[in-house]
Amino acid sequence: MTDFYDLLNPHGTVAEQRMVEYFTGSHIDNSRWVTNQLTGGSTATMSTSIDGGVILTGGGTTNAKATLGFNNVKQYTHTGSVFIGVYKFSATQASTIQTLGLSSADSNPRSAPQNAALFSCSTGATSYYVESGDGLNFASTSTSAQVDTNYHTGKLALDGAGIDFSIDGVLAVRRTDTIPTAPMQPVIHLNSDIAATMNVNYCEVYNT
Amino acid sequence: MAFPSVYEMTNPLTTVRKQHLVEWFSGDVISTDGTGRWNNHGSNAPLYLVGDGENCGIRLTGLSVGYASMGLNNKNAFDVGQCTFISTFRRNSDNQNATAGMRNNPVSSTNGSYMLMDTNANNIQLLNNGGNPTTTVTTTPIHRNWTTVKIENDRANTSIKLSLDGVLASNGTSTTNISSAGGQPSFFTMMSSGSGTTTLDVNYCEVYNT
Repeated sequence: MTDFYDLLNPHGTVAEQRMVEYFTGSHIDNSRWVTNQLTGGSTATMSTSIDGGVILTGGGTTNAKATLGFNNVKQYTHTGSVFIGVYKFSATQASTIQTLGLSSADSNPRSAPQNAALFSCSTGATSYYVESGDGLNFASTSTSAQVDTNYHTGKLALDGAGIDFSIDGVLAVRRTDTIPTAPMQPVIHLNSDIAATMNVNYCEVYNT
Repeated sequence: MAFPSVYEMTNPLTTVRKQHLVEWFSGDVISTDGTGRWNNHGSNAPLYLVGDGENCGIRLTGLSVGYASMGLNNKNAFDVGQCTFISTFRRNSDNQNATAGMRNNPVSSTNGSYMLMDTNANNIQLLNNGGNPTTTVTTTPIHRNWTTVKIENDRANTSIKLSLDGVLASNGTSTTNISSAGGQPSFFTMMSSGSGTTTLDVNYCEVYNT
C-alpha cells in the first residue's frame, strides 16, 4: 500500500499545485469553474452521453463564445507547468474555433494581451495549431497533426523556454517564441458561428 | 516510482482516457440539491449528510415509507455494460434494502448492474438488467460491516463479476441481460418491509468506462 502523494511526487519532494477534474456528475463544479463568457446563446453543461463529460455548445449565432475558466485565479506557472485534456471536437468547419490550455484570461483567452499557451482547431483548419501569448503579442505554429471528431488526449508542457504540444502521447510541435511570461489558469473555449460542440471529460494541470 | 500525472497513474498518454470518476465523500457538505455532482433521487424527504466521525463519508437516510437514492441527475456518462464500479460502504439497519452500483435511472431497475443487500434474503445479490432482469445470488451472507464492492461490467466478454473485499464472490458472475445503456453510479436505501428509518454510509466511489 502506498499513498497518493508518493505516487505523484518523488520521496522528499514538496508537491506543487495540481488540479484534476473528471467532469462527471449532475452539474459543473461551480466552486471551481466559472463561465464568465457565454455569448450568443452558447451553453456549458454536463453531457448526458457516454464519455461526454462537459459539453460546450455554440449558440448558433455569429461569433458566439463559451469559455470555462477559474475566474482568473492563476496558479499555474509559465516557467514549468503541464496541461492535459481529453476532448472531442464536433466540427472542423470554417466558422468554429475550439481551444484548450492555459491563459491569463477566462474571457477571450486566445488574443493579445493575454499570457497563454493553447492548442486549437481553428477556422477552416484541418490540422492542430499551438498558439501562445507573452502578455503583449500573440503568435501561433501549425502542426501536421490532423483534426478529427474522435476523443483525443492533448498535452501542453511549459518549461520556461518553450511549449511542447503532444497529441495522444506523440509530440506534435514545440513553440519557443512569444511564450507566456506570467501565471495562468486552465481554460476551455469555443467560438463558433454555428451550434458546434466540444466535449471535455478530463482535465489535469500541475506545476513541475 | 512517481507518476508525472494522475492521468498516467491509470493510462499511458498514448491511450485516450475514458470517463472516470473518483469521489471521496469528504468535507463539509456533499450537495444533492441540483447544484453539485450528486443529486437526490429519493422520496419522502431523505437525508444526505456528511458524517462527523471516522471513515463516515456520507450517510443516506431513508425515512418512513420513502427511500434515499443518490445519483448523478441522469447525466449518464458511463456505459453500464462496459464499466467498473468500486465503492466502500456500510449498511446499518436491521430491516433494509440497500443497493450500490450502476443504474440508467436511480429509481429504476431497468438497465442497471448493482449489488443488493436485502434483509428479506440471506445472501448478497448481484442484480443486472439489460431490458430483462437477471438475479445472481452469491454465497456471501448479508452483513453490516464496512465492505468494498467491485462490479466489473464487461459486455465485450459477456460477463458481470461481483467482487467483495477484493475476492470474486462465490457465484458472483452474471452472463445474461448485460445492458447497453448509459448509466450513473447510484446508492439506495429503504425499508425491506413496513415503515421506518434506514441508513447507508458511503466513503468512496470510483467508476470508469473500460
